[in-house]
Amino acid sequence: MKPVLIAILLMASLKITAGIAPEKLLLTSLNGPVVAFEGRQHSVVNMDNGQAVGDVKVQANGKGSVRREYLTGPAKGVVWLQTKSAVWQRAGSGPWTHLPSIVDPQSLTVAQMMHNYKLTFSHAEIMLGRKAIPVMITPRQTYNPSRRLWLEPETGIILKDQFFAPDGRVRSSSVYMSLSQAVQPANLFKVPREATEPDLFGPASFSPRGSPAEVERESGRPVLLPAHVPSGFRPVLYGIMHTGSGRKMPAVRYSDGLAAFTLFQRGWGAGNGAGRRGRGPGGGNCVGQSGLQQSVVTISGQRSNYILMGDIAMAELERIARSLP
Amino acid sequence: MSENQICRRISEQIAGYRDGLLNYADRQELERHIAICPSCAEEVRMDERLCQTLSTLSCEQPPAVSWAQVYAAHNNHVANKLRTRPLLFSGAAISAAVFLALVALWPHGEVINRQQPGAPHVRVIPPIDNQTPHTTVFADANLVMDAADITGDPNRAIIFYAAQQEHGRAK
Repeated sequence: MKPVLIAILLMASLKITAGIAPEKLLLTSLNGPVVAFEGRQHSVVNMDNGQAVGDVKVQANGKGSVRREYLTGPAKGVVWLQTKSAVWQRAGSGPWTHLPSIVDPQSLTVAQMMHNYKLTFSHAEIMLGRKAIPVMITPRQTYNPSRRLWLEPETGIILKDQFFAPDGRVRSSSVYMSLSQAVQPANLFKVPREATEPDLFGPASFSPRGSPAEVERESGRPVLLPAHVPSGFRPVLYGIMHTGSGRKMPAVRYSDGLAAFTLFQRGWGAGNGAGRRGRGPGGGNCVGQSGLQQSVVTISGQRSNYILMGDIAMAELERIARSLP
Repeated sequence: MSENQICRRISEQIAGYRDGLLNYADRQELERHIAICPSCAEEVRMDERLCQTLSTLSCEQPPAVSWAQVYAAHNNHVANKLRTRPLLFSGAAISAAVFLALVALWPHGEVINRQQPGAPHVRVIPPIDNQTPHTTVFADANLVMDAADITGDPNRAIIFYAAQQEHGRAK
């Protein structure tokens, strides 16, 4: 969907004050707030080994750009900037990193979310003196996570946001503690002149590429895809992982509009040797690790070894893994 | 931690460093250390040289082998051993085998998932957020993509990632 069409939908949604179509309401909020404001959020992230909390200063220019500055907690000092074209991040006064974001995700993402999840709207609640409509996003498949939003229809501001694991446990919660609508300094939202690839996240960084053919050309390896993909998921990002020893390995990210998983290839597979017979597809064994925030499955296939990571249930991730070549 | 202990810890991480399997904090620690420790720096250089040398070696194809021959040879070998083994040692061997089997089968943290009948076993590592070292960089990359997903809540991925890093440093 073209940005112009999205803008028309946004404007249309703003004019409707009663009986707002669900997709328009969701589109309004996911496209970012349409008013300039500054607010402070309190976030709680639950993990298997405890809880991490942080306060975040959020500023928006009302034109699709949002800036987040982490004031307290483990991410203190991190600055995150979303513009219309990309997402950037930096730690303290360090260099900006261009994050591997999906191009034009909003329209497709909303359409996917509407298709794969059930949306339930409740009566408006008052939060910080503003009218917030609670929206429950429930999965049609049991292996998917769910989400609950409290959004202000007139501005598109998500006043409260909760994520749930497939088993119903709360993964995270973010809520505005204060919020004031005011014009924000334009220089805060300027696209960084220089930025690095996301190598600060580890020696094996991920860099997105335009197509699977590009990934295959550059890595010299085929992009191997699973025969089983969960209902509603589609590939949204292809890229390359650079390993410390200089190898380039294909990676593919799948999304269904709310949940996502990434499939990483790692080296050649176990082959079809007699010693490996009967241990899994392609003879490889399968190891799963399930956490509150994400599930991980590693498997040795016939043609490659793989790691799958995502926020869906581990059993489904394993099913995908077992269908890999 | 003494200097020797640090060097030993760094030495254990060199292979992971070479293969790009260390997380950001560990890599930074290793790079800081080899900048000031000549012996560890030399070990890293030796590791690199070894890898370069190994990569230039050609692979020798194993000779064609019949599994029937291998099994027959193995069975003959075992039969000969049993014939020559005194009865006294057979009893000790059986006791040792029972003891080893008990140790091997005793539950120690890993759970076998048998949810899917007919499917091969999946080893399920207990649910903890700290990933095994070989999956850390991939988990990081996945979280980077989560943080860039503007239709989600970036706070979740960013705070979770930072907490993981903090947890890794504390370990």
